[in-house]
Amino acid sequence: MGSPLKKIMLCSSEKEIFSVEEQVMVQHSVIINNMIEDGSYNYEESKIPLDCVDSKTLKKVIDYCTYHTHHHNDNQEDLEAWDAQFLNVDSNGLYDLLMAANYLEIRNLLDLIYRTIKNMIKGKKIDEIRRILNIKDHGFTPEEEEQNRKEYPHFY
Amino acid sequence: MAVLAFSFPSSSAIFTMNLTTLHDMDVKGYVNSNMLDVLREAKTIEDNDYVLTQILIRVPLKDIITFKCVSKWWLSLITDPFFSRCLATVKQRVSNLFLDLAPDTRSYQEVKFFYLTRKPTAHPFHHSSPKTPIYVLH
Repeated sequence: MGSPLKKIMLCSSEKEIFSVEEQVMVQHSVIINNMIEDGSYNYEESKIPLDCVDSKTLKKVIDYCTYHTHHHNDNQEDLEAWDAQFLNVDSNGLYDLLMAANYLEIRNLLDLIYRTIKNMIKGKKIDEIRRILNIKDHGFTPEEEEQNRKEYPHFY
Repeated sequence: MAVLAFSFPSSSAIFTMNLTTLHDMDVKGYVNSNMLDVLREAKTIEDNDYVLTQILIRVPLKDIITFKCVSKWWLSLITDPFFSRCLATVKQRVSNLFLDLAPDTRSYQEVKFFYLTRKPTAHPFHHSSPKTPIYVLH
């Protein structure tokens, strides 16, 4: 690992360049940590291309990593309040964040998003879940669906 | 990770490839870039089975019973042995949930979940530690 003040360049899908403290990304992203450790990153020239992450999402991801690097000593309640505020985005934004966190392997952020989506669907009826997660094709034949509805009416 | 499946109207063959390959083809000019945009728009959490499994294993187990009726895809994820292995990786599971696999019923009815007790006071098995959650798979 390099010195804390070293910067690395991240390149979003719109080819916008973000310069981030190395320590921030190395601590959170498994992928970037591996990249730095095996020496495949060149500080003079390299930009890490993140083709599946757009600028808006990348900025949020960097915000998350930066905040959690600098505030990891804060008490749990403050961090949770910040996280809740951070994830106050629409479902598309949440989906983009999830995919970005999955791609960069940011485990804390992934876990946070998993828990958020879990809370969105927990205890919900099937019709609501299909609406929330935008499931248009459930794959059951009309007969199977009919039978399920008959058998478990309280699920729907 | 993201896999696309598409078929040509002239034949019944279905071709699958991952998005990276498609992206390479796009760079080489083989694919109309609008096609990629449309596909990106259409993506939902549904498309990523790993991510979906990770969410589902965090849901309280009683909801899992409901969720097997959400879609065939969810049912197949939940009944997959990988799912029960993932369950064990999440902390603070409710103990004493049993999966009863009935081999003679039709596939979508295969798994029945039931609790022995809601809040177990006495452990039903003597040979394992009371603190260990039990998952019985036939």
